[in-house]
Amino acid sequence: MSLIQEIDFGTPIRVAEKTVTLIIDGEQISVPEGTSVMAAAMSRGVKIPKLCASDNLEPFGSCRLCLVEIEGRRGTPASCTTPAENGMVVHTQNERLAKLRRGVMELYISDHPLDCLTCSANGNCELQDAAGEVGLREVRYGYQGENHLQDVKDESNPYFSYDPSKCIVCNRCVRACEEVQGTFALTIEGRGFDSRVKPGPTNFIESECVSCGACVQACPTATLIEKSVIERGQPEHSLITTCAYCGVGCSFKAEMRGDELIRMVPYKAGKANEGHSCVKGRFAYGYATHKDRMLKPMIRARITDPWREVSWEEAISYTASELKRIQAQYGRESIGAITSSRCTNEEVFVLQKLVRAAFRNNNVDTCARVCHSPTGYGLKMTLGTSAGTQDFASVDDADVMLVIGANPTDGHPVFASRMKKRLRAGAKLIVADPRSIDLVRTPHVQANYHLQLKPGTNVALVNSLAHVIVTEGLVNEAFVRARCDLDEFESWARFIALAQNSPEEMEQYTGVPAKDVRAAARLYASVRNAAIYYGLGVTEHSQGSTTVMALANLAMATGNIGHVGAGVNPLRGQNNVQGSCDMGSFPHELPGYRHVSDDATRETFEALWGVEIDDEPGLRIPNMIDEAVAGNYRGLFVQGEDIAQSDPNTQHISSGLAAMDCVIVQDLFLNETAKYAHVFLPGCSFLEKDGTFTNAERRINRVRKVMAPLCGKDEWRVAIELAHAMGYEMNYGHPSEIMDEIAALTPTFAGVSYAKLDEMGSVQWPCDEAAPYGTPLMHVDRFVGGKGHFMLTEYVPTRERSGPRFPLILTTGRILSQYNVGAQTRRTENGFWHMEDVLEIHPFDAEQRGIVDGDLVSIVSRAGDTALRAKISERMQPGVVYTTFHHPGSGANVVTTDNSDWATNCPEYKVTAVEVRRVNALSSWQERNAQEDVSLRRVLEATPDAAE
Amino acid sequence: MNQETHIFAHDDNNAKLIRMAQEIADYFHAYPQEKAAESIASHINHFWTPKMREDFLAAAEAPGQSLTPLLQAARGGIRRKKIK
Repeated sequence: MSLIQEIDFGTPIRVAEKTVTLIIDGEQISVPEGTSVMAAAMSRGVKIPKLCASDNLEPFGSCRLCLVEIEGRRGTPASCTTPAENGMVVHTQNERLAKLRRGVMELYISDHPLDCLTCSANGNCELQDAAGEVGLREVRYGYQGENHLQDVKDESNPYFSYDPSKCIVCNRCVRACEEVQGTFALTIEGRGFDSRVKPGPTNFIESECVSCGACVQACPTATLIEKSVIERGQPEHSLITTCAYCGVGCSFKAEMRGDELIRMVPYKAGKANEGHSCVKGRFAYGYATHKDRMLKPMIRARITDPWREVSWEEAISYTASELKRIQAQYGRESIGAITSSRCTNEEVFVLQKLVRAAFRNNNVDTCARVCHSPTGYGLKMTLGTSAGTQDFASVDDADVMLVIGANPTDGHPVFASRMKKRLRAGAKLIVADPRSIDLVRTPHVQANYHLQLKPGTNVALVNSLAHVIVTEGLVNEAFVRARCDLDEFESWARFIALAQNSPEEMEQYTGVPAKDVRAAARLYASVRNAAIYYGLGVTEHSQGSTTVMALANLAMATGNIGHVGAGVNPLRGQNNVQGSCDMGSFPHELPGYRHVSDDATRETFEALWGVEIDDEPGLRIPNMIDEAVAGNYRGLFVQGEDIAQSDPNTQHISSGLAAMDCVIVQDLFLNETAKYAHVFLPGCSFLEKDGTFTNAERRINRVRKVMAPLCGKDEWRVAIELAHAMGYEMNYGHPSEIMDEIAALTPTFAGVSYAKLDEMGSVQWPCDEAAPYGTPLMHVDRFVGGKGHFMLTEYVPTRERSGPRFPLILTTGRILSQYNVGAQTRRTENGFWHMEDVLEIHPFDAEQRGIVDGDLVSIVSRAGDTALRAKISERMQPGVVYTTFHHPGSGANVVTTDNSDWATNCPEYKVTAVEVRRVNALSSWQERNAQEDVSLRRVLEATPDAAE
Repeated sequence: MNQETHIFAHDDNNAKLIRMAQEIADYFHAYPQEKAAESIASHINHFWTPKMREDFLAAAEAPGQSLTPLLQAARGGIRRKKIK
């Protein structure tokens, strides 16, 4: 195995219908019009020396190393900035060019330390390579003159170092920050000899840098380099795998030295990220080998007992006997499982199979219940399938983006960079969000409209947008007539045209000025390509499903379905939300979103699995907890989730967990849920897995094992062994065989195999006989179910109301550096940016309560109370407060209620009526939780013969 | 958990089921009555376990429990648990 090296063409590969033909070093070459001479040469393997050029950046022409001669032209133009033209005759190598290049290199090296042997980039340095390519043998100028060799390093960033003494001021880092990431944190300060890269007035960590790593990747020297490389040396082999954080699903080269991960480098050929990354995927992988990892199975009879390490055999056997005992005593329906969106498709598939075939019920649900289950319902009811319509690349053609209830720069940063690039190129932006998210105003991007609605009024807002479109004659009638159910459309149009849905009428609920709503609606409907992007700010409401349907209505009414630049696009929170839903994790659906009551579907599964499948839906997570509290539900297998932290109304969740006889947690860490568990089964990090993740654009990406499971067992094998212990056989030798079964049983995956994924890199479902290479764009000529369905979406205010006791509305979200419950990111250096969850409160609300920045404040709701530090912020409007839930001790979900979406029971995290007051002590829940952190997590010292 | 807590939780669960059903009814309220009632029942049949449906129907019949007319109309369409 070797290090995967990607070809750098020096300038971006252009796409054009026309080609041009030229001769380079005697060879005839045809390339798309607009291609640079440098890229044209590289397309035939002719590498022109370069330093300031990289094919993920626009040509810059500053290093003067890539000079060429072109017959009939004067001078020696830079090949990176010279477009290839028909009939050109180019010479890339001759004595004159060699002399010029040596002269340029000599100048660079005269102000560069000659410490190659001890340099961290030794063997992977473009400056070193270029010096070799041009045949530099001496530097005539010496080091006596003025130079930068004593410049001081900036070590402020936890992940990378900036050593200005090695900087050649090629500008690649500055351009990467601008063009690729879109943050504009870096600049070149000074002129001529004084020119230096500067991250603002102080250092990297205090600048606007978001640590995406684009500058580090762009740097041709050791100026910007990963600290892991400095500490451990250059990697020697790599494998392509998929990030285990958000739903963008970035492809990375996991670069290794032996079995140690040296760094994660974004993979240019990865179709979701095209070589870009964020701080989490690029750097925050340290959790995988963190000392908190639990690597041995453990059991205990009561949650107050200390954990006892046991062998895998004993753990599996104990678990099976407990689950069988519970079923014998309380009935078949008394146990179930929760699958994880952090696990692979294959792991999820076998777990839901364990439930359906070995537990013999449908009590399987997934963490998507608490995030995107309304997407599943809403898009299926309207568009016919439970998935987003576009690929990420589609945004490059969007003329207008409507971003609602999503915070892409924090939640989906790599896609946000792509959005910002399109916005800088002129696309218009409508943001609908109670909070002033970064996208509203960020360098060179400003939303045309920020519809700052009150939490809980999404339906009112989207209805009022639709009202304008219908009543002002902006409906795309041709599309509707050809593609949608006309009776349903007419019924919807009559409903939406009612005065009750007008922006003027809805303003009382939304708080958004009617004139802005009208203008935004006209903007959305006025262009050929208008795209909707949404997140949990849409779904996690009592009317989450209604909003999803309202958005689909909006897209259909304007004909924004079935072509690039348009669509309805859910931004999935976790890496495999789409996949876990696809794999039959919902209690009413078998893989491929087919209801358990469908006889034909069930028969297909029964024939292959050799067991009868229940034709009635099982319990959803909130129903499981309710039934546990009521004493009817007694056993739960939790795969890679932490419901005691992530799910709402924590005290109700913990009561339910504590009431069960056998809670099994499979995880990397002894998480909050594990405090209530009786069996702990150690899990594997994504680096230890073979499998697939499916991202928000339905792209199935390979996850490849780069190191052996630290716990000694693949996660998918655990479900198989538990099934066996319960009397049901599953036989797979490798995850690829699980995928083969998924393909055999799931029409939309019929054409998927590991061989195809290895060949294509990734594929977007549906992938079947009709679309053997996948489906980047859905609903092109017809909707999956034939016609598009307009659904009525009456605004029904949430039951959660503010009032004298609870006058503020709390809404929750995430931030860039942390991820979900923080189990992964808290165990990395990312904690540097977010040590604790804080309560953002508007200065007006703070002043009324005598609160100043940094005060400890209690947040009290009808469900419970907790205490956090206050942060005065004008991101929120008065009357609305905001927090994150990345730290378990914060107890953000102690405050959230069990209100939920009417259709799916997705919790209403985004609207909780609260009061905030200054306090001088933590809440009683927090104090009790801190005690239980110790008392419910005790582990007995291992005896010599206990573990394998 | 003692028996008393279980009984309390049972009552609490039933109240929650009534509330959930009412929220489903609130959504379909925009549709004509007959279609709305049919859709409410279909939704509950589609997503609720047989036990939840039975508990709901029992709770709906409890003395003092009043359902909205639309939810009342949907009741008849809710599938009963199969006797296996």
